[in-house]
Amino acid sequence: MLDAAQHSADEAAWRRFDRLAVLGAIALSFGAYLLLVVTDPYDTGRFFRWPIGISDSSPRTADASRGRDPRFNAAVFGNSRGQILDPARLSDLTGRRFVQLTVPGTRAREQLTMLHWFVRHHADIGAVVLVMDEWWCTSDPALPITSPFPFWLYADDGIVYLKSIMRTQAFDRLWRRVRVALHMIPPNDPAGYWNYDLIAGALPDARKLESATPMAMGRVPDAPFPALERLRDEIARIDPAVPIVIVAPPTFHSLLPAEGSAEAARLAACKQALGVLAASRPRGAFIDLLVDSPLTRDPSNFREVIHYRGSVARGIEDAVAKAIGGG
Amino acid sequence: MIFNSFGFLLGFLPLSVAAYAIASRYEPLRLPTLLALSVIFYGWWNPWYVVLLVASILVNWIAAAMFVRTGRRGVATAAIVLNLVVLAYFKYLGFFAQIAQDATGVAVHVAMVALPLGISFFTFHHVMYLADLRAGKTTTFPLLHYGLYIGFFPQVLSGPLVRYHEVMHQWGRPPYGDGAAERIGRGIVFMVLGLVEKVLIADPIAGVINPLYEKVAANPAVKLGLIEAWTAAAGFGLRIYFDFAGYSHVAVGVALIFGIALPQNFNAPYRATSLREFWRRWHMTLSRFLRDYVYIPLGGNRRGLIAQIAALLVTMSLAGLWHGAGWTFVLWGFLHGAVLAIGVLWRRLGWTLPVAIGWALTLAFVVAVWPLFRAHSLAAAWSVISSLAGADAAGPVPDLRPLVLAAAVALLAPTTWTLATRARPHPALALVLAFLFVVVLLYIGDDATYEFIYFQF
Repeated sequence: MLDAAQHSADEAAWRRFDRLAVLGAIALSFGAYLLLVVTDPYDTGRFFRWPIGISDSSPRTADASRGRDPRFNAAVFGNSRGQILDPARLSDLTGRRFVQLTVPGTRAREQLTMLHWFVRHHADIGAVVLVMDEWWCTSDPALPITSPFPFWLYADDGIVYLKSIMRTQAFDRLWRRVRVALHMIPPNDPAGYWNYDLIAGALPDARKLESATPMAMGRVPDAPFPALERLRDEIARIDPAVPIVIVAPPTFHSLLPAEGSAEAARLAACKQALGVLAASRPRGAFIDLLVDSPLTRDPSNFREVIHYRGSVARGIEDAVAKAIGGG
Repeated sequence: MIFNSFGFLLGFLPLSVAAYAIASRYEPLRLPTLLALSVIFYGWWNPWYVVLLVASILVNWIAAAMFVRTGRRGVATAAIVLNLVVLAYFKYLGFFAQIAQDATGVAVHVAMVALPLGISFFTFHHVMYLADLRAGKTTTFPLLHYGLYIGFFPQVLSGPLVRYHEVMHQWGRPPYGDGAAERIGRGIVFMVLGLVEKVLIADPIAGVINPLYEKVAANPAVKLGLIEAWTAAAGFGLRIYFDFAGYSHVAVGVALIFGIALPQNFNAPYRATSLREFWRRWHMTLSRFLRDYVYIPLGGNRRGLIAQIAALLVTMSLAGLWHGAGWTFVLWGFLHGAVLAIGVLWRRLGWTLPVAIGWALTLAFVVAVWPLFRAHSLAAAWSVISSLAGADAAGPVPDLRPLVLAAAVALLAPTTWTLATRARPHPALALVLAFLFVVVLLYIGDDATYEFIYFQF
């Protein structure tokens, strides 16, 4: 009799335990999810807006905020090879309000996503600068990437965002936003400029620069350029009056394919396609620095084979400003 | 569908529990519903392989019925052979072709096919049943019961390897009658702690050790630093333990929620003081299978010392081959067999070893040969193993925090099995589990979750 009563009490205790565990998990999950949706840790402005400033230090995610910031109407896109272009100087030279939306370690697919995000959030665009390296010349229609990129963060479909926001990294971003809001840490630069030239470093070893392996290019010059086709579609959404400047950034000359090779022909075909694309716009321009020239033969112009120094960047900014025209 | 996914935890699991609870009110619908849920779960990955699973169930069930009706042993034997041939086709064709090519010098081309998930496990389920049927130890079961024995979704992909007599009697038991609340409660404890083992302990180790194995895969001539090498070896040992034990505990927990008790698969293996004890604690259901269906039929310890050692070597080499179609796996199994044989000789001579030394030697051996299991080639494995005794003590030091946490849990903490079977229904425990579940969900949401390692076997 006592055993039966004990068994019954145990069963009741387990029933309460089951209910509490299940309802607790549902309540905590829903609470955590709701908190992330409402507080908008990546500052996407999708559902709620909290004007706190940029707390995120990774361009991969911070550019969700920068890319929709109404204080800017012009942007630089690309990877680390466009990072050193100074948006403040470009703004001064052109009268536009520039923001840096380059993301290190990215290729065409991620940069197209950033461009799409910027265009989507700006009705009145002042100028677009695309720093396009050889990875745009891929013939692979999948536009492969090398590092994880949060495509979900920039998705047009809010459902994709809602399906992906439940993650520890979102809580990390939320915590940083709280600290910025409470003035515990300063916000990051809203324009996204980071000058890697400020990092101390000796001049590069010229022999090392000269012995670099030439860039990997396809060997079929007339193979399609699917990334450029996607870019054509993307910029078709931009008002024809908006200046669009395409820059092929310089690398140390040893990285260029050997003259006369199939790879060199492929690169030339790609750059020709870029020129045609720029020319298809009333205010388009193509600045080709990816050539063998005194600039790309001078080791003092580079930190290493692909990253040029600020002195070169200032020249590019001048050329871009000239192409856009003063404000 | 994998356990550590939103799709399973927030979709399939609650919906299937609801469907099964409703179906349980109409007994004729209950088991067909459970089988249908299992087929959906299995087919989520690739619907075409449902055909393989269903055909496998039907063919073996018919073979069993024919054997019982005719009494012809050849029927059961043929069915066992057919199961192994199908497994060999999907899993070993490329490996055997490579061996033939290496031996003859003639290029052998075979069409490679994807390995259906769980085939290694459900093949062994069929073999266990048919072998016992042929030995007169069991009889036939209704198709629905046999189908669930093979395809019950918590264990279809990676076990535990269940004996038919452990589950067949459970199918007829009402899942949500007396004692259900405790079963479900313990199931929740198993499931959440299993997810913690997988997502919070095993997965973070991958980020530390994967670059090391990629480094030696790219250039097997490279030597790792001393700390790097031990990190690679011990890190993989900890990762595969928490990955597979975590999977097993989720399987046990989910099965309990559906009213079915599955057997224990791990019991703190890194606390073993001999290799024989290690295999009694590691992947226990596989060890039972190897003992009863390979080692003992090969003679076991009944035919003298030489035959026993030969049986051990063959059994463990086959165990290695079962894990993967490659010489690294065969060598891993063979070395385990060799050290088990040394243990047999040691005991025959009546020698003993202090427990602490036995534990240290066992752990050192198990860890030292794990690279064979993880590396993609013998050369890459040797690169790690030879670096274990390397002189480069000043080499790079990887982030050891995930390994330290895992080692502490593996060596010192109560096991998930102990915690779940001894848990009391305290409200605080329920809230802790609810909190851990949310943390697991958040980590699953990150981009760095991994499939269970044993899915590839």
